[in-house]
Amino acid sequence: MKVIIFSGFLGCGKTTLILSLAERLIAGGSRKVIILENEIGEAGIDDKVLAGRGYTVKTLLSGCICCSLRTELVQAIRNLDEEFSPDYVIFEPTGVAYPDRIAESVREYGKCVESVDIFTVVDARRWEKIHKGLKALAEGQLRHADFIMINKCDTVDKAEVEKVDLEIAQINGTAKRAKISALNGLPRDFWEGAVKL
Amino acid sequence: MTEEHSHEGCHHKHEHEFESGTEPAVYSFQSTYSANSPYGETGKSLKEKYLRLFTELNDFAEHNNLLVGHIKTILEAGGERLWLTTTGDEINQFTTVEWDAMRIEDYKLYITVIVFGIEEKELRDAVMLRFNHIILGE
Repeated sequence: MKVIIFSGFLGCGKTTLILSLAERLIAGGSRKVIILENEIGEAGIDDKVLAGRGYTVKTLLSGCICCSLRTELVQAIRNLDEEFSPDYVIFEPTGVAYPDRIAESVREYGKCVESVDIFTVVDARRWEKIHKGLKALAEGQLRHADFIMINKCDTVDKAEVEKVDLEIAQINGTAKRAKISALNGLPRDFWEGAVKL
Repeated sequence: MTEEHSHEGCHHKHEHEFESGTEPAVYSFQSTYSANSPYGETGKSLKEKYLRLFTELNDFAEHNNLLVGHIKTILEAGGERLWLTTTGDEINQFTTVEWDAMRIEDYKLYITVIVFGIEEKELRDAVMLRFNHIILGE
């Protein structure tokens, strides 16, 4: 299976983008996609947003995956492989998780895993505020990303988007970057460039 | 609205070494509510109450110089659904087709409030003060 870890601060649009990616992956009906959620808070909300659309949604217990639940994550991936043999597992950790630590665990212990990619989403409107107040987290979520999506570009002016893009490039100059507005819709072939379909 | 639940708010303890004073406070609960009125309440009316709750929570955060991580909720009733989400200013709202017009007697509520710069008890108190006033009419 191929694992895609969707990283990014709280409220940046990960769930909306996961919906879009999952729809694209199952189009045509031949691929099995599992979405694995690790959400802050006892009242699971993201899994309900994602459920009932032709793919399976599983939830890990409340708690942060990159520290206390790594063993549970690896076991969950093994169980998913045995039960579903999915083509893709899209994993959404909490908005305060560091994706590289998760990827490391998955690569090290997930024998059924063919590849692990980190997709990081950034909120263009809140980048400045979050980067200022939570610098280590903001940069840690970007540093090891393979694909970075600067989201909510419709909510700020062009100059601000360019500024955010430049700052992100200084943190991670090798990841592919895209400027988007997930709520307004993505270009038809958006995921083709990001995911090896 | 009368409530039929016991609050068991989530205490999220994060083991990372966050930048000092920046671990989020999390208050999250789920429960079922019933309308006091025998005729129920419209989905639209309920939506307006929750929009007001979200607005007041955003105002509370701004007034106290706090960073809203995420405030989100799903309400479910009769196969229909309302989803609200905010990160401190705009509130995004999504409903299924029949939500606004339907008359609701009972609904399931799932809500999570994540804010930086405040203790969990203070957050819980701030949320419940507004929730009890706006949603429950107490």
